Amino acid sequence: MHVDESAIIRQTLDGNTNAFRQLVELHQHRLYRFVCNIVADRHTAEEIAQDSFLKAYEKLSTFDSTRASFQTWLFRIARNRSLNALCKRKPVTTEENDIPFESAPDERLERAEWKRQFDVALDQLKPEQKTVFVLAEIEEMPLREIAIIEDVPLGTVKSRLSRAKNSLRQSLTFNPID
Amino acid sequence: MSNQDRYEQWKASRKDVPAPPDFADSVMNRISGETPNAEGETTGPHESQKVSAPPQRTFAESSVSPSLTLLATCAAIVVFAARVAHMLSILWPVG
Repeated sequence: MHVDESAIIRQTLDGNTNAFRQLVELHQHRLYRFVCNIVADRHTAEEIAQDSFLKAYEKLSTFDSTRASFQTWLFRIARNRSLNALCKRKPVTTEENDIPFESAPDERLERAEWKRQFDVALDQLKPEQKTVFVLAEIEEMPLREIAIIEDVPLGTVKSRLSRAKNSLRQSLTFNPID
Repeated sequence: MSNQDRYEQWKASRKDVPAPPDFADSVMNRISGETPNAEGETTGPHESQKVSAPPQRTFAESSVSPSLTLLATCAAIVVFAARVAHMLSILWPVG
């Protein structure tokens, strides 16, 4: 279903607060997932994702649709807040980490182990590599869009992604990323 | 299972993270000032807790064309300059 986001933004700017709910419902899952994969804590992710929507609401009049889509703009807000949270938090050990997400009782030990290795390897990436990796590999965003979110040239995005993959390979006892 | 398969499975698990069911409600409540944060500490609506509404449309977004506004401004300047010239001619008549 096509949603005319620019119309929703106009309605919100004209004073219809409830119109903004449509934008929240449209982007909430993807934004929450992105933040959750960066901060690796569901409670912190919820707070940051909510704060990002509130900031977007407050600053909606400054949004320029000719420069980026609403989603890109929103992700940029969330990305900056997530990195701030990463800088503030204490180093997280594997046991304290809220990730991995799955813990089905019948899950094979081996499967749990390599998933844990991935989780730890992701968490150990440098913050700017981590955001690029999550946006590219998990959110599957185009690199040009990621460059806008990260506010860096396209070449920098490519090099960060390459370094992130190399770091992951080195962190793992097996080589999963082709 | 190949390592690439493991990687794809791990990515899939990372994608399976939906927002909490009441997420949109929480955001809208915070905008209206009913709930202060994601911890669920409801204090009821207070004006002081309301999130500032987005400012009304800026000059560039308004329905009045910028070129029309510029024309009106120029016309106002010309009229003002003419009035000043007229006053000067009264105070210091030439010849």
